[in-house]
Formats: sequence, structure tokens, C-alpha cells
Amino acid sequence: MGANIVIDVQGLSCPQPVLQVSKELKKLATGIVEVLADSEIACENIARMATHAGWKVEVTQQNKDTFKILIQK
Amino acid sequence: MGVCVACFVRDISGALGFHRANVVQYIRPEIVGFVIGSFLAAIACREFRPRCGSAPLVRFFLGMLSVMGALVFLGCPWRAYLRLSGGDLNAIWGILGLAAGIAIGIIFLRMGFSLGRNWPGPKALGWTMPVLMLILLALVIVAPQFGLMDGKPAGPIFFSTNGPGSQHAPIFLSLGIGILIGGLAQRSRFCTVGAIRDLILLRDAHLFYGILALVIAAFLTNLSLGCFNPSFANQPIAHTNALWNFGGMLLAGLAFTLAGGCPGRQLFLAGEGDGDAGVFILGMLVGAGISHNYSLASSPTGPGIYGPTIVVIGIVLCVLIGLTFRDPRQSN
Repeated sequence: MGANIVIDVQGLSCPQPVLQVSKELKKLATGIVEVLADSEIACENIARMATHAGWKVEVTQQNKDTFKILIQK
Repeated sequence: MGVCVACFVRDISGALGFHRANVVQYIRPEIVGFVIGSFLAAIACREFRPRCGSAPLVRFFLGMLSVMGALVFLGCPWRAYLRLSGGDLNAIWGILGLAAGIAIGIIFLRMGFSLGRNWPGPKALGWTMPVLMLILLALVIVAPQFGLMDGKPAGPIFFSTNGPGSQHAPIFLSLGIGILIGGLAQRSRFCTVGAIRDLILLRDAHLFYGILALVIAAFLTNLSLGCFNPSFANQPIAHTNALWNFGGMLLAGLAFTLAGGCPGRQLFLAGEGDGDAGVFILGMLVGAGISHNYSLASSPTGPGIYGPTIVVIGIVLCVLIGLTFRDPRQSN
């Protein structure tokens, strides 16, 4: 199943990655959101925020510098 | 004095001859240690990522403005909390100013403020700040001197013989503690500005626990050593002007928020390979020199002659930056 939206937060400094994702999640009641990030800290912050908001989060490392965060509810 | 990134960067600036306030000149090995500790932790945990290109020139100016504000208060956010835990009640104004500056920064973040994206760079980019720090370490150990000029040391490296710059732990003890703090902070993401920012912006308290731990540990240490003296007057390296304690830290808090983190965090990011954070630190180094050359920095007797002026100018510049910078490549 494909993601409803894809958000690319690569290269953004704190707290913009988590802020952008949080904004999008607030617009959705349910769905699948795919986030592309490039640092562990962005992954940690986004995962913490989304889990807190009741979403299921799965982080996979695509390559050395890219992480895919799948957020769904 | 405790550990203060703004004061220590100011001391390094003086040691390199960027200013000639002879009581605050010393290459602080703690700063070297913060970057090296973070660098080692990032390498060990595979988080070393050389990157740069997110408005470095603006970050340089934010570094300058932040240290100018911090030196009007006389301390970075770390020192604000350390001062409070020693009973310095003037720090309350500084912390309130810091929180106000962060709150203004949050308004800009909510409006879409962004300095743009950074991009991956070559490994050598990530090594630049750690190598620069090793050069500073070599300079404090070797202490090269060109002789005397008018009976005073002619540099190139200056060392205070009295005042705060003359008070320091042995080099390798300072360095070791700095490396330890750098490593732990890289792993824990410790950030005194992010702590308040995330609490207000995201209702997320996990970084704030770091501040609580800092304050409680320092308070208990002061209490057990008999160093807890609650008062406004006669506090070490502090002045009692509430307005400019507040204003100085408001400027610093706003500049730190726009740049993405407190000065300690910028050092740790620089160790992880973030060239933009390195540029911010260089901005602090230059800003600290200007602060003392242009009578912007405070002293225990009160704000410098032009300290209030630079706070107002700095806040106006930060507001302009906050209003004008947006990510040209917004996702979606």
C-alpha cells in the first residue's frame, strides 16, 4: 500500500523536520505518511512525536545517509 | 565560573588576540574537548556526517549576535543555569530573557522560518573543526611567544595573568572533562535551547530533563561545598541590571533558536561534521572579539557603554532574519 503523502526533511536543521511532519499528521485522522530523513536525531524526534500522537512508526535505513520513516494509523 | 561556552569562546578570542581585554585571554581546552568528544562519539556510533550549505553566512552573523547578547548577560544558557544553581538570582532575569527569545524564535518557526537545507560534503569538511580544535590545543600547550612589546607579551597567543582568564584547571584535566561532556552530549542530544523550544513547540520534555539534571546536580554540589549564596548582589562575574540581563539573553535565545540550538549544541554538531555549526562557532569567536573591542560586553559593574545598543540592533536583525528566510524547496 502506497503512502498518502511523502515528506522530504533531508538537510533541514532542528526542529524543522519534526515540525513539518507534525503539521501534516495533524491534518490527517488516519493514513500512511512516508518521511525521508538524513539523520538519526531527525528520526528519533519524528518517531517520538508520532508515537506520542498515537501513530505506528517504522524506521528503516535506506543507505548510509537516508532513512525512511513510515508512519501509519 | 563553571563551564560557559560564551565565556570560554570569548577567552579563546582574547587568547588569539582578537581582543585585548587582558583578564579574559586563555585557550580553553574544554571547548576543544567538546568538539573532539562529539567527533569521537559520532565516529564510534556511525553518526559522523560531513554536511554544509544551509545559509552559512547568516549562521555566522547569528553566532556573532548570540555571543554579543550572551556577553551582555555574562554567560551562555549553561552558565545561566549554573549561576542560578549557585544562588545568583540575577540569572532568573537571564533565563526569562532566554525563554522569551526562544518563544519569539518559535513564532518564526511556526511561520515557516528556515535557513534552508544543508548538503552532504566530503569527509575533509567534517574533519575541519576537529583539526582546528587540535591546532588550538597545540597552541595552548606550546604557548608560542614573539617576545615583549612595551614590556607586555606581544603574542601571538595571550594568557591572562589575573582575572577570570587566569583561573583554570590543568590543561589535560580540562580537556578530558571536555571530551567526556562532548561524547555524552552527542549521544544524549543535550541542548539547553532545544529543551525549552521543544517544551513549548511540541510539548516534548525529554531535553528539558537534561536541564533539570544540570540544575539539580549543580545545586547539590554547591550546597554540599557551601557555595550556595542566594542573592542579587556580589555574585561572581555577574551584574545586577535586570533589564539588560533579560535583554541580552533574549537576543541570545532568539539567535540560538534561529540557528537551531544552544552554543554547546553547535559545538557538538560541529564535531559530528556539521560545517554550518562550525561557521556559527567562528561567528561567536569574532563576535566575542568585537564585544570587547567595542565596549559591548558587560562587567561586574554593569552593562558596557554600547551593550544595550547592540542588544536592540541584534534583536531587530534577528527579527528581520526570522521574517525573511524560508526554505526555497518546501516539501509537498
